[in-house]
Amino acid sequence: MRVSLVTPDATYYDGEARSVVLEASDGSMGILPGHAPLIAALGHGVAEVDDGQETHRVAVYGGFVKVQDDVVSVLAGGAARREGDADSARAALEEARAALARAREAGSPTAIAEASERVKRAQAFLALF
Amino acid sequence: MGNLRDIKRRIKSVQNTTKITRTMELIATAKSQACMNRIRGALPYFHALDEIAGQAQQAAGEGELEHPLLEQREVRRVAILVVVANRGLCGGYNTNCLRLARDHRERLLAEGKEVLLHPSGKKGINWLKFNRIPYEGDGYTQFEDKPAFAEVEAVADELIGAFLSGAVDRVDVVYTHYFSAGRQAPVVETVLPLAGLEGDADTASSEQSGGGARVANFIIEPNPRAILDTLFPLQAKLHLFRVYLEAATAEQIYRRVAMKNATDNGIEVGKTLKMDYNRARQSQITNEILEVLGGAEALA
Repeated sequence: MRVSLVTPDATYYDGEARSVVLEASDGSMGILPGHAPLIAALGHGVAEVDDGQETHRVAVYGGFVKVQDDVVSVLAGGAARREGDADSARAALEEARAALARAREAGSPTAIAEASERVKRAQAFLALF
Repeated sequence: MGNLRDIKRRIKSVQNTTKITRTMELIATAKSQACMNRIRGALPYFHALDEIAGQAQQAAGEGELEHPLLEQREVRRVAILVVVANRGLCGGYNTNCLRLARDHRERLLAEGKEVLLHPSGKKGINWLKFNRIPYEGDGYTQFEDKPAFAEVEAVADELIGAFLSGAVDRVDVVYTHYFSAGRQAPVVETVLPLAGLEGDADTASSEQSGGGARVANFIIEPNPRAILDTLFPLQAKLHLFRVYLEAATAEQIYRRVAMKNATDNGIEVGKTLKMDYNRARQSQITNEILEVLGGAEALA
């Protein structure tokens, strides 16, 4: 089956694959060839695309997946490949959590939403390691 | 005629300027190509999202569309995002767009609405300062020829936040729309409230009529409602992302044209100066011959 994993400004995977594991909004979801047509909202987590030789792991930050006629399109709200080391990813998560705590204290709903999005992204990114 | 050395210096300076404008023209050509490719690259994403929107809406059933971002309120305060460039030397790109923004603002003020301006691009910020028009925040200057989605998202989040909190009742954007490689013009569009899912019904129905037996019955996880809830903010962000992509492309095309005109002009001026130079040189030689002849005669 054909799998594409894209954000609005970049392509992270485009090609044939044997299986895809995605983090849907309510839990992990595996897609194999011959899957029924599906539209699902994605949560924050690691997507694993198995092309038969290796498994490509990409952190996906929300978005949608559409499966139709053995074509899997992952439309991510944002994505990242593994980069740097686990320690700096952990530090980023700590910082995001601190920012969230500060935003909660300040009490602005938009700032809280923004900071919690950052925490979710940092968590998904850390899960790559 | 001027003296020879003066003309020579002017020829040199025109040639140097022409070299610069030609290089800028080439750079702008390359960048505009890259920008157009980015628009093309983003299109499948937009289409796929539209299709998801259409399917989810169908599954949710008509008339059930309710979302804070769709809410049409009585418009008292309007935020206008003005997207122009950080740099000049691009013909009428900035001026045309800013003029439209000014007209739009004045029209809204005449209707008794309050206007909050959000300039993007140094040229816009400076123009507002120069005309003593107040604006919100510091303006955005981070966008160059390759606007990143994450950067646009930050701007979008701010505007969406303002809309949701009720600080503004409408969000408009003024930018240079990329109609085609040959035509770009400034336009005003409304970003929020979202115009609903226009066009999606078409894609969904054309798929049904065209597909015949292979109308897909999508499994929708977790439910259509939840899909639409996350989809609407993303649509607003993508709208702005498209705005920035198109504005960047239009800027490069404008710059290419402006620099092409400058180069052509420079070559023309160079030719005229060269002719002046030759004429001056010739008349100087003639003068010298006459002097020599005169001197010889005096001696004879």
